[in-house]
Amino acid sequence: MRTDLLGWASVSELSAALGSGDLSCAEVVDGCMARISALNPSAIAFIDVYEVEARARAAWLDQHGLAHPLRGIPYALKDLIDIKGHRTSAGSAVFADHIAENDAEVVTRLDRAGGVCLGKANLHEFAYGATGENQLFGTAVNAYDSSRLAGGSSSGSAAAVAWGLVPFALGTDTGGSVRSPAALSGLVGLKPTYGRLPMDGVVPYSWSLDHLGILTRSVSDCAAVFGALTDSNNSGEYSGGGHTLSAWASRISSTALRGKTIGVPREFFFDNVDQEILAATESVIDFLKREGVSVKEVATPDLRFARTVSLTIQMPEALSFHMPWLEKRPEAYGEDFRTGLALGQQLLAEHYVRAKRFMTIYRQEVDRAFETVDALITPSTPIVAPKIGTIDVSTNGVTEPVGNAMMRFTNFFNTTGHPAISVPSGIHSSGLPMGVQLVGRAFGEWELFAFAQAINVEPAFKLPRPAV
Amino acid sequence: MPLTKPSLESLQAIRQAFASYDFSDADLSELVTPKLGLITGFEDLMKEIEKLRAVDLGSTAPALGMTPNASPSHED
Repeated sequence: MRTDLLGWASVSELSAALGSGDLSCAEVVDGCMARISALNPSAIAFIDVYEVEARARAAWLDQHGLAHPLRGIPYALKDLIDIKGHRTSAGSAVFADHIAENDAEVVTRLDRAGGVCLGKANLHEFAYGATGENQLFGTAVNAYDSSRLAGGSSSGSAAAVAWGLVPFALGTDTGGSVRSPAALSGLVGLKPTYGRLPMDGVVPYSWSLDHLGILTRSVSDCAAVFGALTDSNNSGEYSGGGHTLSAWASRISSTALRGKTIGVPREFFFDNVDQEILAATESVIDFLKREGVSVKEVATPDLRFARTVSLTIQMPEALSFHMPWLEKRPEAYGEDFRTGLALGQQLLAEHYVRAKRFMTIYRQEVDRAFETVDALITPSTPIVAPKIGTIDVSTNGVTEPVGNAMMRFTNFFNTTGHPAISVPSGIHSSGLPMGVQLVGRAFGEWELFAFAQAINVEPAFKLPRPAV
Repeated sequence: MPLTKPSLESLQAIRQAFASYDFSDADLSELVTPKLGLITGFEDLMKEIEKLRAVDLGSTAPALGMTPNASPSHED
């Protein structure tokens, strides 16, 4: 494989090249580091790069030819996720000198699987916000248009993958912070079932709604990373055999879509959407029909209060976590986040408990929908990537804060906890990516991958590579 | 009884009477008259929560974690 193509290689292509000896782990890291050096000043994706450690890790992996499923595969971590001995800034001056004492559990698992962490990715301060705008580190930039947002709050994770700096990155998703940037940056973004990936060693925003997520350039890469992170044998050194990328790929391809049913919740999720995004979503639905999938319109749960429920849970939980640092260094917080925490202090305990009871109702309502369908489909976002600095956006005459628009179709599924994935649905006339969101049964990620993979390999929905 | 618009003074009184963090007057003012526009102001949020309070949730318990055996979940 030519080293100049390393930036766009898939996990399986890199794995094959590493397995055949065509590439060494050191060459892969060198190639990615060269791209980071050249492009990160424009992308503002990484805020810390671990060049020395990554090269040492690659050299070790080259010396030990073990059968790790992700052996030598580089990745980035949203800077909420701990790596022992390194700063976890959470994108904030508050944590500027916060050094992690241990690896996060997901880092341990990626380490066991053979991954090579290249550094920490930019984000919205403490994951509070959908735009990814960060006054301390700068704002991660969209790979398709440098005047636009990559999306957030996992902005740097999305930019790192979309700019071809790494094949995958981990992010967190409390209201859509993996799926929304994935859609806006032309990527695949998975929010697994609530609790499916451990949050140990991840700076929390809202314990009840936080999910760890995966950003990749393809569904097969996403499945490979998810497979490695959830493999029940990932509790010690891999002995080889049975834990291969091809095993996970075949798990997707062996799931037949013919005879499955997809639910379309038209109310709310198809309202006030950019016309081209709407048309692309309908094209995906038509494609699934041609693949033998039945399409069924489903009633949308009552979503009038969903955002209020989410806020009423988020802000007291965030306040509770941040109280010690608020006491120590209140001036280090961004004004917007500190005000959000102040709001959390004004809510009554009964408000919080009531909101958590609404979560139960929402979860039950979506579970009921899955008695008659195998997946749900919606647009991932109602808009394409906004310009950096945008305050409000208007769609079909309805104006709303840009952050609300970016999370409008994603945040409900953080309250229900069902797995959801954003997959590209085509390119907008503006040259920007569009995406569809697929939602699956609780713990049904592999079935969800089967739907997503069918869409992802269909030429009609392929995106051009960004001209970075 | 309809909700009244909160004042800075009422939030200051709560701050002084409750075991709570000592947010600045500027932070509390933003809740009364939002200028940042990034989050719902206190008054709007209270109106929304008042609507939540009108919904009878019966004996529904607060949401806890999710488990693979909860019907109709699907364990891969």
